[in-house]
Amino acid sequence: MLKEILIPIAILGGIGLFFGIALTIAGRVFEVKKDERVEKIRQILPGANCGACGYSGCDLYAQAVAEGKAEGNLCIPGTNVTAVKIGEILGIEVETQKTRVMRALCCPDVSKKFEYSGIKTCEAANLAYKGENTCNYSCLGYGDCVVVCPHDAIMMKNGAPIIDPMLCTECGLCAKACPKNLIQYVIGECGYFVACVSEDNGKTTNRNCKNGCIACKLCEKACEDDAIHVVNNVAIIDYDKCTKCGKCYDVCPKKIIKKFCSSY
Amino acid sequence: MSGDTFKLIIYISFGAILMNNFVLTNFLGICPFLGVSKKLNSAVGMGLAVIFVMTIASVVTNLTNTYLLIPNNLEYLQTLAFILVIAGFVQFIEMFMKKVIPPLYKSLGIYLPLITTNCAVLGVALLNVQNEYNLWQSALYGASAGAGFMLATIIFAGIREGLDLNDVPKYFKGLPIALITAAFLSMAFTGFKGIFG
Repeated sequence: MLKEILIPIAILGGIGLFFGIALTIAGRVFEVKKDERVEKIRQILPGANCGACGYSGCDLYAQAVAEGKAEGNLCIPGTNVTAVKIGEILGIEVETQKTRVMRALCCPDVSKKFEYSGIKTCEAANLAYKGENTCNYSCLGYGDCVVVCPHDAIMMKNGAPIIDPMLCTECGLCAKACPKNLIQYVIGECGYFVACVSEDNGKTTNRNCKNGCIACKLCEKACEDDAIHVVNNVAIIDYDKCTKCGKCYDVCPKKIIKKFCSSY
Repeated sequence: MSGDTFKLIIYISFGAILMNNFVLTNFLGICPFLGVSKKLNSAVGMGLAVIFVMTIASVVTNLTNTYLLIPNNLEYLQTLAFILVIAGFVQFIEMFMKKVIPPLYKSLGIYLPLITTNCAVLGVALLNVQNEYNLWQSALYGASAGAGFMLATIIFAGIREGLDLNDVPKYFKGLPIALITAAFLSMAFTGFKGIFG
């Protein structure tokens, strides 16, 4: 009777003990030495695994930084705080990046040139004659950026994406997803940006969309710092020169030069 | 090799891959089947890892059963002992791989802990005992069962990648349509049942 209980206990216990000891020994014998800086850097990174740094996850980026293959300032969700800390761990100066905000450069007021009934994504809609909107540069409104955003920071309003700066980590996935390249970085804490990218001439733009840059150059003339220029029929702000005086904002007849602030 | 042995090899391997496919006919290992079938690449990696673990598990559990459990009349401890042995062994191999063959560890390593104690792996060990396979037959059955899993997962991953591009009704998007697809796939695989008559 006692034997029937003891033998199974001994055998199962024996197997357990054997593997316990064997695994402990194996753990010592097959120990792989890791660069401890990798672990330290990994702990500093936000762990969003957003891929904005160009690596497919925080683990790989930490490794690349420790091995010197990547710059320390590529983590966008971690901002400059992370970059400075990485610099401290590696004992090097890491160049900090400028403050910047993601904005969608379009607020379309367009009509349709045909009825599109295909797959409901921007990428697919763009393949059919550059989308159904009269303006070929305008937001298609199917929300590829909303789907791709890992932080739920984007919502569609009036046919264009609105990005919530409190939720946005500037990972840039939406910028990559947009087939029209409408979502771009605007540099600075606060300031102005041009909410149109249409390279059609003024007359065509005016016909296609009520909120388009008609290349009238009023902003160019109003600017005292030589910071805004009309290139390819669309106004572009040079953020290195811009003093945020707001003169272009006041003068724009289409009101497509808009204010932004990184806090709201 | 005698004709009978050859027949047995064909019977075991084709039986495990097609007729009694682990995922689609026996409904074992559904969790990794649904979890790791979103991308074709990871499905291949997972499939290879399953083949590897199942073969190893078949061999070690067969040895445990013949030399430890049966002589002591402890067949009723099979489930418990098998889990212990498989988990310990896979853990050991993972460490070994990490040190000696890092590239292989990188491609298979993340999947190994996932399937160590999976029901499909335990199922292979218990079915080996039920079918009274000897050592090499167990190893073959394990490898074939793994190959069957890989086949099912790869087919399923291919279909799921295609599904992403289709205009699926809103409430069927994602897992619901994937499960319906899996059901169709399973029905298709039952068609193999009649091969050996």
